[in-house]
Amino acid sequence: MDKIMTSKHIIKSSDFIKLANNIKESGRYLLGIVANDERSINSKFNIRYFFGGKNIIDEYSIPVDENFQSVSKICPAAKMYEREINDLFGLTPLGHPDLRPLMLYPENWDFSVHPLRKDYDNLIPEFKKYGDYKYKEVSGEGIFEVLVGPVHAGIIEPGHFRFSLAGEPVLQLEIRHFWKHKGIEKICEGKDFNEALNLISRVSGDNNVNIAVSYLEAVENLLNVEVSERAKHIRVILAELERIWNYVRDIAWIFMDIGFALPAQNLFALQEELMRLNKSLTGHRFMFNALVPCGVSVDFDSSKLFMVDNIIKKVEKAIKECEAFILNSSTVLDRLEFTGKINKKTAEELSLCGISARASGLPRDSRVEFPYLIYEKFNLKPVLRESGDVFARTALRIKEILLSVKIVGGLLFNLPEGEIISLCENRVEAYKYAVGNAETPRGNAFFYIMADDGGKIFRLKYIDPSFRIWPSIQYGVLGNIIADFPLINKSLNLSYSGNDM
Amino acid sequence: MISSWTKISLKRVGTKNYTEIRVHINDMTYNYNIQHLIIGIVQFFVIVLLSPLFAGFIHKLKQRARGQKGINIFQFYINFNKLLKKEVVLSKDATFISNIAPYIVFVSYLVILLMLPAFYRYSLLGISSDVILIAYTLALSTFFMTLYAMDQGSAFGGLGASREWFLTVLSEPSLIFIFISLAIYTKQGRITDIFYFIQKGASNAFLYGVHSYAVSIAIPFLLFISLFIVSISENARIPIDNPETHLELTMFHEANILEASGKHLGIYEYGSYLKLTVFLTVMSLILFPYMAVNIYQIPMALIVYILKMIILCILIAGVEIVNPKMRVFRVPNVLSVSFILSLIAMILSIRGF
Repeated sequence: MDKIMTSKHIIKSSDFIKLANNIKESGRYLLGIVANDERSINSKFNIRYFFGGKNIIDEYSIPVDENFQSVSKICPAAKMYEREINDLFGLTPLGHPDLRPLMLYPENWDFSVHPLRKDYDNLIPEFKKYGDYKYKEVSGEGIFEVLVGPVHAGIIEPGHFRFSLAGEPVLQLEIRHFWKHKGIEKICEGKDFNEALNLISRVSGDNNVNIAVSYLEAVENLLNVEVSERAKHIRVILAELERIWNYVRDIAWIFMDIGFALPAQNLFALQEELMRLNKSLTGHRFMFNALVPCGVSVDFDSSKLFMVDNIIKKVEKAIKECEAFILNSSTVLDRLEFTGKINKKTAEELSLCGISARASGLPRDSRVEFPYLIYEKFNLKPVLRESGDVFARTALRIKEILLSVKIVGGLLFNLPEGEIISLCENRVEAYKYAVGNAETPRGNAFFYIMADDGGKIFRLKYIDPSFRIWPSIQYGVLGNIIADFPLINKSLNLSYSGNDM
Repeated sequence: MISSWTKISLKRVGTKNYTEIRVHINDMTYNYNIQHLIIGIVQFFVIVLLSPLFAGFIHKLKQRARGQKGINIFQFYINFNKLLKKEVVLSKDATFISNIAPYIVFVSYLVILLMLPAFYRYSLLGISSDVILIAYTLALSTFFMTLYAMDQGSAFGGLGASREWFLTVLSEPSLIFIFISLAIYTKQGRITDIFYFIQKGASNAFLYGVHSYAVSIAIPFLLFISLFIVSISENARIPIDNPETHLELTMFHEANILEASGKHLGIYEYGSYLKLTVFLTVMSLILFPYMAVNIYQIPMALIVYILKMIILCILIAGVEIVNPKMRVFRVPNVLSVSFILSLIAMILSIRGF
């Protein structure tokens, strides 16, 4: 963490607006906004803005009483975070263009109750109607609405999509999410780091290793322990294996959504093999509980290493065939190219991350920007595509699988010797906080953790890449027809659960 | 009144070994042959009962090609049986249309199957099997299916109905042209006569070397390709539509019956197998018309019919396996290819090639 410069500034809310313009021009982008009820420490709320750039994280801390200046007009990415703070803390962002409740549904939640305040009594308000949610309206002759969800066909999570259509072309898409808010952040308060790890691993199970890496970056920084080299290597191997199986599955589903089941089934078979590898390596198909604070819980012996080596060679071969297949198939290219284009400017303004940003030409990859574990020694460069369409996102996934295969292949037979778990009995300083970053298959996972005076969690904030990327679909579908929406959605493959903590 | 118009008499014809029913309507007299009647009914039941098997066979082929274990080939019979036992849930906005539409759709396909000479030349309704009637009975079923979709008041129904007509309107000219060029080419109006004429001409040419103008390679070839494209589109198959998808927003045909449940759904599904059988049967007749004209040829004709259907099922499954679903607005391009082919076939048949 030393290599990443973290500069901290404490400023007044009214000054921040002017500053935000400067930050935007310097090319930094919003990583997250974290509010914290610090009334027991310094009798104020605190809102921290984190901006990221190459090897640097800027933190602007703003003490707040009741309301603060919204920066949404300068930095549109802040819109969702500010609505979230408005809901969960009851701090009003002044000048915010759209202050409808985000997570606390007026249909059944009393808006005067703000669950993340420390004086919240853990009681759920009486279940009745408190108000209405106003959707955006599009009117005109021949314009009609198609409402999809929150209950969908198939085993997926809830999300409400409201299309305004003129025939087939989409005029507007409005997404309403957060149907199953779990309150993970509130539950984590007062838990120790081990208990919280089990919770946060399960918010978005298919990315749990990378999310745990990010969480442990923050925790180990707080505890001030250095993980052994061997543990770092094993973490990287597990994280990259997770990336590989995620991307294999994503590409398979893109094929399924264009109705091309033949290559999809081949990739599903490959995914199954990778998940069985996960099981034989860590005892779980999703590799749950493989990472523990200060180390890892699984060690690799030579038989396991050979197993990984065999399978990644197979993956490399299969994915190269898949790439050639896509590039040579005009019917597949016809479906993928120019569909669901997210412009570079949109991606920049919404502070996208991960595949979605890189497909639109933004070089954002936490492994490169904020190198953690041993990623620095690979000298990675973000793989980029400029076109921002479904094809770009598919092609990027293929390239990244090959990159991950290369990383894993290079590490397998150069594992340093040593313990896999370091000693960590250090006590955390009271009210010290740290941030963690990691690149999950969907993008940057950001953790903010503050410890209380007993070494437990005082405030945990996790920002899932899905939370940042979901709004971008509303722009991606413009200019497309409604029949292509499932494909666009699948090419981003966002998590509902990670989004809705 | 009717009794004064219609007089039915049974008469044993001297030397011939069959009984005739004589129907007098007004002044006209039609002779029905009891043998034709019985075999016609048998033919009808055979193709109606086989149709879920063809659909199941295509599904199974596709799944095997992808390396999946695949469904039981009789699964669609089991599904139909199961759905018939389930209750129908209708939207509270539904009118009487929702209650009658599934039956109208189903019966229209049955009526067409009554007309088709799948393996016996004298089908039950062969006497009124006008090609234009067939084309518009198909359109009638589509009409009621889309009414059903909109009647339930769901957003997907309206979307599905508009897409279904988008396809139907584009494929209707091809279908009409295919039938009309067959009619012009053989100078016959009924589908039974059309294919019997081609069959007779072909057998004369191949067996006895008699040149007949009914032997043309170009016209059936063009019509077959044209009808194949129309069949893919009308039967909601890849690359036009995906019959296996669960994504409501991408559906054509399935979006129309998304609200159907229980018995209604069962009837719609069976209807879709019947529709597939209608198209495959017409294609099989264009491909190789071989119909029995008497009872002794029936076993051979039945075997040939089933063989032809298997070949066509493999063809459909093959197209579905190697293609992804195309973009919605690319569909007109493909259907216009079908239209052009049927147009060329029509010009050729007018010229009498």
